[in-house]
Amino acid sequence: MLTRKEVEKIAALSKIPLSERELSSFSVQLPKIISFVENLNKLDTKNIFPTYQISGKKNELRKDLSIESLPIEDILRNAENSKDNYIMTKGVLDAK
Amino acid sequence: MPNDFLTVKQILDGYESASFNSKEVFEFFYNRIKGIDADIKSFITVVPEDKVCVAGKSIPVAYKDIFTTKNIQTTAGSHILRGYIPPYNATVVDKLSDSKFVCAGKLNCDAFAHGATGENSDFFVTKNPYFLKKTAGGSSSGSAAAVAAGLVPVATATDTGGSIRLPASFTNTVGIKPTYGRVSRYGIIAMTSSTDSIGHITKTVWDNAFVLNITAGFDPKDATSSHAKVPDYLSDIDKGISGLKIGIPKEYLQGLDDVVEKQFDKSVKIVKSLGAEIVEVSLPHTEYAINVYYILTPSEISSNLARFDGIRFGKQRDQFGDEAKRRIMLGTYSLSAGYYDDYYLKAQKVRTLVIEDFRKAFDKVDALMAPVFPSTVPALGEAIVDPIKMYMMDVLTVPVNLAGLPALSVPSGFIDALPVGIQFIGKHFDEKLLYRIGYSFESETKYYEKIPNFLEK
Repeated sequence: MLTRKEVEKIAALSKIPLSERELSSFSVQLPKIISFVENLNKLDTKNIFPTYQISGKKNELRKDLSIESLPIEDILRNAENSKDNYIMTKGVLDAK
Repeated sequence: MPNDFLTVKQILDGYESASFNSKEVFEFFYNRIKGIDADIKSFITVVPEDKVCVAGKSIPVAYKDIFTTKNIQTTAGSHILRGYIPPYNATVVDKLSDSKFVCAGKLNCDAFAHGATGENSDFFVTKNPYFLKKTAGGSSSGSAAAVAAGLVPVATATDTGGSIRLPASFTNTVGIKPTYGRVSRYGIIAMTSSTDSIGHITKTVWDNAFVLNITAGFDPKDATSSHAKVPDYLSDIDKGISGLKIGIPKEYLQGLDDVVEKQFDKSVKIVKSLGAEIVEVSLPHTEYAINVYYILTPSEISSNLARFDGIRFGKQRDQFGDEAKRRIMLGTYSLSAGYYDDYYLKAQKVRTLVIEDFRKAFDKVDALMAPVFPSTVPALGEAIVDPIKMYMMDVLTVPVNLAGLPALSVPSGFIDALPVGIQFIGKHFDEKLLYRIGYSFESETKYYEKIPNFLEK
C-alpha cells in the first residue's frame, strides 16, 4: 500500500510541488485508485503477449532531409527566459 | 436568414443555390455565439469576428482547445498553458483550412482531456444545452455543447477513452472516434499516445462523414498514422443496412439503469426494423478494460506531460490541476522500477485479451451496437467528487480505445428530455460502414430535429 511518504517521493520524482492539503488528499486517493486497477490480478496472463501498438505498424522511416524550421522568434515567443536566440534554463550540473 | 442549426449540408446546399453567402453564414453563427455562449460557456477563445477571413464558400469550425492553432491561444483547458501561442497548426487544422473551414474559436475541455464531464477544465464548466444544470460530458465538453447549441456546425474533438462519444451522447450530437491511426495526431496535445484518436462532433451523420473525408489519411508528421486508403465516406451512405449482422455484446448490458436499458431496446428494435440481423455476442474481458485503461493512461500521461517544464513554453508545473497531478503521479508510480511488470506490463497483456474478444466477435458480425453510458446524464458536481466514480463513467467506451477500433456515437432519443446515445463499433478502418448504419438509423429517427428547450424562444 502506498504510504504518505511514498506519495511525497513520487511527487518529487514527477516534479510536482504539493501543498500539505494536496499531499493529504492524494495520500488517500492514490492508494484507492491503485487497488481499483489491481482488479487485473484476478486474471492469469502468464502466456499472453503484451500489445503496445494496436495497428501493428512498424517503424515509419523518412528520408533524412534538411527542411526549413520554424522562425526563431516564433519559437522564443513562448519561452519565459531567452537570450541571444537561446532559451535559458537553470544550470544542469550546478542547479539548485 | 436560415433557420436554427444550420448543418454543413444545409450550408453547402445554400451556397449551391445561392440562397445566402459566406458573410451571412458567419454573421449568423457569430450572433449565436454572442447571444448564447454566456449561458453554455463552450468557448475558451472566440476569434474576433473582424479577424475572421471569410472568402468564397467558407464553413465555420471550432477546435477543441487541445488542437494546436497557429497564432491562436491553445490552452488544453489548463492554467499551465494559459497564454501559449503556438507557432504552427495541427495537421487536421491545416487540412480543414485548405477545405474552406474557417476557425471561429477554441473550445473548452477537461484540462489535457482528463475527465468525463468537462468539470476538470481549469477555467470554467461547460453546461449541457439541453439542461443547464447537467454536464455536457467530457472531455470534449465545449465541442459537444457548441454544436448542440448551434454555435458552430462542426467542432473537432479527441477520444482517448470516450471523450467524443460521451459528450456526443449527452448532447444529441453525432461523434466519430476513428480507428487509431486514421487521422493524424500531429499538433494535438498528447494524452495517451497508444489510444489517442482524433475525431469531431456534428449535428448529423452526413456532416460527420463529410468532415472525415477531409481529415483522414496518412501524415508524414505522425508516424502512427496509417497508409490505408481513405474511402469516400459519403458514397453509399444511404444504401441501408438490410442484411447486415449487428452484434450486441451482452456484457455491455449489465449494470445499465433501467431507463437506459429500455431506451436501448427501443433502438435495437429500430435497427432490426431496418433489416439488420441482431446477434448476441460476448466480450468476456470487458470488465477489465477500465482497469487496463487506468493503468496505461496515467503511465503514458506521466511521460507525455513531462514536456511541460515551463522552459520552452507554458508555466511552472505547480499550475497543473488536481486530475493532471493525480495521473502524472500514478503513472510515475506504475512505471517506476519494481512496479513496471505488475502494472504497465500486466495491463498491456490484458489489453491483448480485450483485443482478442473483439476479433472473435467480428468473425461473426459486421459491426457492434451498444449503449455509450450506463446511466442518464449526470448533474454538475455529481461525478467530480470521487475520481474512481469519474473513471467508471468510461466503462462502455474504453474497450474500443484499447483495441483501436472506430466507433460512431449517434443520438438515440431522450430520457426525461435529456439526450441519450448509442455507439456503433466497427472493425479497423470500417468507418464507412458505421456511417452507413448511423445514417440509416438517423434517417428513421431524426432526433437531431429536437433542439434544446432553452433555445426555443
